[in-house]
Amino acid sequence: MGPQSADDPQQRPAYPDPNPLAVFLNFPYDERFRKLYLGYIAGLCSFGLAPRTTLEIPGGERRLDRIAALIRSCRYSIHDLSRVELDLRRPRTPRFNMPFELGMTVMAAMEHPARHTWFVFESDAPRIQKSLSDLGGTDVYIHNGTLEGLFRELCNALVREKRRPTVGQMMKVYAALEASCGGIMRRAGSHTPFGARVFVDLVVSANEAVMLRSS
Amino acid sequence: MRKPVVIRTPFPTTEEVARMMGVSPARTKEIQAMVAAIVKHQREQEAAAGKAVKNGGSAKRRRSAAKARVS
Repeated sequence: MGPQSADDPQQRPAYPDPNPLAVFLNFPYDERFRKLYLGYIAGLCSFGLAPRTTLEIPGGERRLDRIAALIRSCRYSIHDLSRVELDLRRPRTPRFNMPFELGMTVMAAMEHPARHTWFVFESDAPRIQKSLSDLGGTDVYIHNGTLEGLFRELCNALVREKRRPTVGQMMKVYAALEASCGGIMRRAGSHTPFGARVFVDLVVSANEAVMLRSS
Repeated sequence: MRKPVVIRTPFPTTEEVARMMGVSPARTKEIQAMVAAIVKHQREQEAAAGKAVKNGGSAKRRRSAAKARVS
């Protein structure tokens, strides 16, 4: 275990130039989030962006360093806090990963505001005022837990200079992605879409659906 | 509500995204073929649905409408 105090700023790695297409997606990896998970991939690819997640990071030592490096490599991040709740499986604990990664991102953005922009998404406005009151004064995008709401809020958060996607176009990309998901999972031998290999294949699929749908 | 962030980067191609995500060119081609088939099927369904609406709805809908008129 390494030291947990703040290290010498001179020793810290330089903040790299972030990938202008990359969006760090911070959301829960569980079946109840599947629709919004595919929705985020479809929506962000419709904006010409590439979602990245910690699903791509292998387990083991230095995971925290790798998460920090992934966040710094992304120009944007979206933190969906709609499922920050008590995990009813024993031991019953709150799900801290998402707010923790949001905190890491906020610090990175505060130190280098020109290199990172973050967004918070939620399904319920009053809940976030209670669960994370430190975000008071920050715009939170409320999607109401629906695909239409998610795509609407993505359009409120992001705008393309050219080729602006509509909610209808994003729904079509989502439908194609949902149709391809089963095949991708079977090929990866996975029972869940929340796997590293399945995730990267889904991003490529969504991008191809955007290309075909816009041609 | 703050102003939306303007994205000025050009749309990446599927091959560029696949490279970024570490997906092999062979797998990328497989995915492209699969998605092409899905989108083609979707377009056919959309065209069929559009045609049905133009012709006054589906056959089933026309039959039930006719039945309702008779009764």
